[in-house]
Amino acid sequence: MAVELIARPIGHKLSITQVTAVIVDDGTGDAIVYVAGGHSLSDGDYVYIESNVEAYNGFKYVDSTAYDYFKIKDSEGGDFIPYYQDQDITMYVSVLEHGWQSVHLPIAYELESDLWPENVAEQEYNPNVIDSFTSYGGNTKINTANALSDPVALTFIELVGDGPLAGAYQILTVLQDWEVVINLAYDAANDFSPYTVVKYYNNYHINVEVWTGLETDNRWFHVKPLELAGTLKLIPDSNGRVKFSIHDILRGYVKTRNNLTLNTLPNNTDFHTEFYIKYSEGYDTSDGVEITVFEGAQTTDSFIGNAVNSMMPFKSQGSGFMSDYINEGAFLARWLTLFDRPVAVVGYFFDVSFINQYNGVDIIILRNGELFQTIVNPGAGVIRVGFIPEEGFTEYCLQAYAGGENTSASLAGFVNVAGPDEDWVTGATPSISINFPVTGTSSDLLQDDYNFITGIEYTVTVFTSVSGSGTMTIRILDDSLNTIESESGSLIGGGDRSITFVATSETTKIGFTLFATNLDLTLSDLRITSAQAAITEQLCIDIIEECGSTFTNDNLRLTEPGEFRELES
Amino acid sequence: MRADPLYLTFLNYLGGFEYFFFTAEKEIQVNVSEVGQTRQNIFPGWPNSYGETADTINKSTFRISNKGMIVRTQLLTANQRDVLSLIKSSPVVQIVYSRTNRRTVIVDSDSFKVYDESETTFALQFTIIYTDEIPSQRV
Repeated sequence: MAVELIARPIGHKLSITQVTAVIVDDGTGDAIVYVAGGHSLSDGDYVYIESNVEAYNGFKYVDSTAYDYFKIKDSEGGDFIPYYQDQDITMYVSVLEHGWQSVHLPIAYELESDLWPENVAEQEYNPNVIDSFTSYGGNTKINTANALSDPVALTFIELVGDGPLAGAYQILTVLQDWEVVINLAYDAANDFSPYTVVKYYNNYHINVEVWTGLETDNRWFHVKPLELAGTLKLIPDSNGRVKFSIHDILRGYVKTRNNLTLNTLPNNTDFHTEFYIKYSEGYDTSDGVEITVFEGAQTTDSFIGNAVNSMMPFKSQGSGFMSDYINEGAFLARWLTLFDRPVAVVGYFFDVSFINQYNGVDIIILRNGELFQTIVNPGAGVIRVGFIPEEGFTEYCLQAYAGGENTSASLAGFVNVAGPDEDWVTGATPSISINFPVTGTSSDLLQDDYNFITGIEYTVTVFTSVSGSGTMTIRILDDSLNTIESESGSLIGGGDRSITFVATSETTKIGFTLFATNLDLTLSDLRITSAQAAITEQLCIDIIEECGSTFTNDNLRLTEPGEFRELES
Repeated sequence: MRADPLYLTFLNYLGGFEYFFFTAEKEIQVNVSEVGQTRQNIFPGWPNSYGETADTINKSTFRISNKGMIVRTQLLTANQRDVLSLIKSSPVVQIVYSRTNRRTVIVDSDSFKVYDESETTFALQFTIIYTDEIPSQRV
């Protein structure tokens, strides 16, 4: 490790189910959450905790230690939260970790270095000490117990310990890997025994590149292609950590304007940009003659976030969390309006927006339960649903649905995962023959990637031609080829086999395996269908005539004595 | 008698646009933000420059002015009141004539009143200022 990313700008969508638990001491000084009856959480889950102890509160990373106990951290790479006192808590489980963020609020990352200001690896695992020292031209020549780490003239070492000599010193001359002259005036009275010697990374810094735009899987990526938006040069604090926000950089890629003729509408690309970072470390190095800056290898963070033109105050009166506007399965996204029931007027343009997380998916808008608009692959972003209300309606109840796929997927990309069993013959129509082994035999796994949309129910159907008989298993796999969902059934005389499942973030591949004694099988077609799944709540908009009343509250007291008044003249 | 309606849209803090149709009576204002005046030197044309047929000594050279409007709402629900109150903090407020024809206005930062008409009914009043200047010539 050199630089490690320990916190990303992850948002959470919370379950509405409240769980009560208690925080106690785990015996080592860390806080541990005890949930009577079990917590059903795994490492990497997040919970939101409310209690009377400040340090326990907020979004916490779960580190499960038993079925009914888990420890908590602020982030995956963070430290365990220390124990302060026993405390009853209420918590909510995060059902979705997402990268959608408000561009007007901090979009914060945290990086940690183990090289600076403390060279942790050398200091803790390979401590080196000074055996002896002498004068060398008035400076101090030191002899160390072990070879120094890559000693070169003009680079630095550090004496770590309590005492007046602690600090960084430049190497003036290298005599041996364990014998160097440093820029410390010789004094026979010096005592180096309290110190260990480590390599010191002078002028240490972390470079962060901020990239923003739209990824190539977004339909409008060519309008806002990913580009380097800025570079940050950061110096870690005394703990080796650096926390920074990139929202100021990203704000330049979000335009606050009302452009109803934007080329990309209904995707309001003015209000959305994706982002990720690359990071590396740098420090002074030397060839013995000249000091230059070494720039380490760059790491590209796999997390891709989305910044939208919103400013959601945190815990302020009358507002909630931005996550309320993100869809996750049964927890539907809210529309980006603050009206309980917006009012639209017949003949006057009106629009209402929602956040779409999905690329490559058509969106349909239902009005009062019937198809109103079909938006062909709008791409992820802020979607503006515009319309001019028509006569004959008292309300438009709008709800957005995604999915509705019914496609024939190519089998040509499927590959045989080499193993001890019978191989598949790959191609446009993969095939396999298993002919009278001593006992029944299995096939290797035949698999390929598929971009399932989380939260949507899919049916994967494979059509076959068969001679003989056997049992076929359709598998839905994760990136590591672990089976997430499977369905097995016998194959006699051909036909099709199918599996229906709800996609999650883990379901990324389709696979097939066989078990047979006598079978010639060819896969002829693969069809993938998905049901339309609601992604937003239903929003009802009152439709009025131009001369109608915008006041639609049923509890208006029109005729109480002394309070009668005409609503609108 | 109903006044001409006013149809406003504004950006909310979620990143969506809100619309509202104002039907209550409005007042039109003209706000003069800058005035240029000049005083004519009467000496070169003396005495005719000061006679009955002479022009006035002081004259206006230019005026920069904007149209404004005091907007009042019809009766509102509490939610409508709360949401429309946010128009004051929105950076984008526009009069909508059609999808392709809008006019940006600025909500005057000082002019905002909320009336409680009853326990459940409310009304708002605020002033909008057109960003376009009223056309006028310079002398």
